[in-house]
Amino acid sequence: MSTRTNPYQEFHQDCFNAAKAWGEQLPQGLHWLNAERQLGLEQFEQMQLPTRKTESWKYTPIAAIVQGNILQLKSAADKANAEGIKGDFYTVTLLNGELQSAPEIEDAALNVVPFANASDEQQNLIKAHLNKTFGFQDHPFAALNASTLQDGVLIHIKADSKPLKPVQIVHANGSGDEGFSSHNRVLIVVERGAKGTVLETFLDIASKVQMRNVISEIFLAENSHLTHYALNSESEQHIHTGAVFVEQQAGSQFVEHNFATGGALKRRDIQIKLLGPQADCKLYGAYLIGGQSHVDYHTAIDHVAPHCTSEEVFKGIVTDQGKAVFNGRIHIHRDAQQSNANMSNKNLLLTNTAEVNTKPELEIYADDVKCAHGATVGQLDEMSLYYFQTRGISKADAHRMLSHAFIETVLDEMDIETVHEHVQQSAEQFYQHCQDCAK
Amino acid sequence: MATPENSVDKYIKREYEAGFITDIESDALEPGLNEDVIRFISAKKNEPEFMLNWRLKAYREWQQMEEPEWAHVHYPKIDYNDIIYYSAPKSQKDGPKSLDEVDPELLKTYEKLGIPLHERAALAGVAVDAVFDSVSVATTFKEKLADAGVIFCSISEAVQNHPELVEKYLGSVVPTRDNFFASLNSAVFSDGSFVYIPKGVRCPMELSTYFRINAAKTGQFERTLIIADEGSYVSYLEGCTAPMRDENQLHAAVVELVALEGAEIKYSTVQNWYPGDEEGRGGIYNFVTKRGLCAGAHSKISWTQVETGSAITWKYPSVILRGDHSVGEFYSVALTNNLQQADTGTKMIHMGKNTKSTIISKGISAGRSDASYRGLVRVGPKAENARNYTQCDSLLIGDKCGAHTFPYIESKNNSAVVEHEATTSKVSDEQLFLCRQRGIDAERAVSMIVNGFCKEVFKELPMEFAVEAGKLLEVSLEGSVG
Repeated sequence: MSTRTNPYQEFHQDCFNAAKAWGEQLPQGLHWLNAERQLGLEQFEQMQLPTRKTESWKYTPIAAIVQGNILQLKSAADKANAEGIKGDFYTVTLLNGELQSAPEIEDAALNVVPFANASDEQQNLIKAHLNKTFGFQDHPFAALNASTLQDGVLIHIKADSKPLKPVQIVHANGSGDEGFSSHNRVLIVVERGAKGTVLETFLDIASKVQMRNVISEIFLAENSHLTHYALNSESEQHIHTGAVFVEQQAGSQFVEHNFATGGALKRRDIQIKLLGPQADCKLYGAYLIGGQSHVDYHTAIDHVAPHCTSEEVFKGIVTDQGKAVFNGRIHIHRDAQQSNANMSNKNLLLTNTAEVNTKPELEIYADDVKCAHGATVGQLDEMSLYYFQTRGISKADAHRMLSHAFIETVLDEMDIETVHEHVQQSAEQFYQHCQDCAK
Repeated sequence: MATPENSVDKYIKREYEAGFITDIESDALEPGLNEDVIRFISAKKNEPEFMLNWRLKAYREWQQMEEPEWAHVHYPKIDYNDIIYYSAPKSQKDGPKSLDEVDPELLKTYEKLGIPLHERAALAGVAVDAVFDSVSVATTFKEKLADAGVIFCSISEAVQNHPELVEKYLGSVVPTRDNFFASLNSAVFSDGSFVYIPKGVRCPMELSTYFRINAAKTGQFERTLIIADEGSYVSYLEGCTAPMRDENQLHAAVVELVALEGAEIKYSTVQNWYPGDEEGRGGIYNFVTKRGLCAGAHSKISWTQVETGSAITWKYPSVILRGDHSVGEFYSVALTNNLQQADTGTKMIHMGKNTKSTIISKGISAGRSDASYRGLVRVGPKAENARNYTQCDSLLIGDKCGAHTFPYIESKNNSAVVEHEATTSKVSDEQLFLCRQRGIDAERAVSMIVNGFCKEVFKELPMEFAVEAGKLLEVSLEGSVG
């Protein structure tokens, strides 16, 4: 046996062993997923964990994961009750990666099924779509997720129909359990002409370091429509590696809302492939980063077919010792003429100890296209602050109001009232925190 | 309303006008690289010991390094042992003291290029330090510059006559282990230009070097060092053409600029090396490291480049803004046609307070070429009130080419403002239609539109260069209407 000196290699091997052992003790009912799990395991074994020299992880060291001792996959913690956003939703709760509660859904337009309970027909649907939207090389933690596949959730919206309520998936955890990681999986299949909304809410109430590695795969058939929310509000020591992989067929529309606060390390990859003409996607993101939090959004939009449009707006406020990373990539393929793509990333950097690294990329191989991107890093305008003060508004209040105005344009795009209120509250708390820091 | 195919073909297939080989016997080494080759080069140039040690150190560092692969370019692996590292025109041995003594073959070469050295020098008031292959053969206007106290000579001469300046500044901006190509250059550089502007002097004329690669299979490793002492000003022009040939040639130059307190350096380049033929055969590999250091407060370094040549361009003229209130600028037009690949951009490293940088980059791709902008703007935690504005626009002509943008922005200071904007567009049918309605043919219209697209950069060029740059674009682009 070779001497193991590199902690990354050691961690990689330990992860592999844990995932392998995990797969072997799974109940009989999930054996139909063995092939996928095995594939993930093989892929994970072959790849190397990213280091600072890996271009897509250049600004996001995974030391917190390696040192986090998060190998344990089975939770012994108390089943604390975690609640998602209150509202009129069909709510499914995954606690520590295991299905805790699923509603009785009597909606002809919709099936929400845990993988474990899938019928033969649904098993075939799952197998036809699972792990199809991404290459394992794209994301080291996607392979790890695939190798520990267990309680996934399938959301199936039927052709030409619209569910009565949005579906909310709450990814929650218990309060104990140090060194625990859960690998959750969501699969959303939207059939031709269907229209739906899915929320994913990420909560963390543990006082110890835990990691959640969530992969969501989304398929939009012709002329379908999906609005997807990813709302992260976790504690300061939480580690999140998540990815959303989307495939869009002709005429489909996809809207994604991202909101993030807190978290020791949060890395989200959003990859969208526009495969049919007239497909359209809109991506919105807001991140409010303080303390020692680190957030990293990597987005990639592939215009494969002609006549597609994409719009992307990410805004962030970074304070204390927070670090924000944004990497947006728009790739216009050779035949994707008449593409229209816009991307913008704007950041407010409020302290000298905080850091923003942004990289909006364009890769264009077709000539009849309109593409633009922009990125800014700056602070609140002194003149605006002064203007407020001349009107008798304190500097702190002016600060809060201007910060709010800066982020609000992104939050306003959220079309569910209760969700909008929820993120507004989180944002308010953050502005308050910024204000306290400024004093 | 498509332009007739044949006119497009006619222009696209236009032969490289500066392509010919001058037949001069070269005093060349056998291909290959080892410590003996470096000792040979150093001995041949009669260098002091510190230079030999510096070269050997660079060579040993280079051996530890790997060729970078991150750039958006593709080319067959280079065999560094199949390159001739030293070649001097034979007639140089005794050292010509005036133009009369220069090999007439050489002068003819310049004439074919439309650069009659003496005339141009006399008429335009430009001092030309012409680099023909690896050794400087003619330097004009030396006396006039000497009166102002300006030192403008080849770097080999500088090593002999001003070793203290060379030892102090060589490698101070681009260290020997900076990157693969810079290390190689440090080990084997043959010649280049050296400029020193003393305190408070405004250089009385624009300095210029014409580079030209000749002798087949000769990698050219230029080294340029420009030092502007406190309160001085210099504008430096660099332009290049190369003869046509079928084998790829490596060009790994290093340019270092040092601006002390209150000094200003303006560095302009028109690069028109042989880009290879329609199938991408031949052409120059242009792997260049250019970097300026704003060492003192209120100093300024401005890079302007028009890149139309080379099969592969890998070039990032950068500025380190160390002095408070220092200013860095980068204006670039990069045009690629046929199978050319360009990965170019800049780095602005803000370290001092109130530092400012501006980046304007225009990429034009036609044919089956790829042009990438790759830039870095880094604001350090101490760079209070740093300000950057970046604009990079791409224009695509034809549906087989690519245009890419990779801007890195790293900010660690809350009083800094960094802005980046980029757009991609094509010459639209509406624009062409408007011009043609007014009696302007499509070729001319495209040329006008492209010139308009590049105007912001051209206006930064010195007059005579702006004319040349405009012409270059016209030649390369006319007829590319889609």
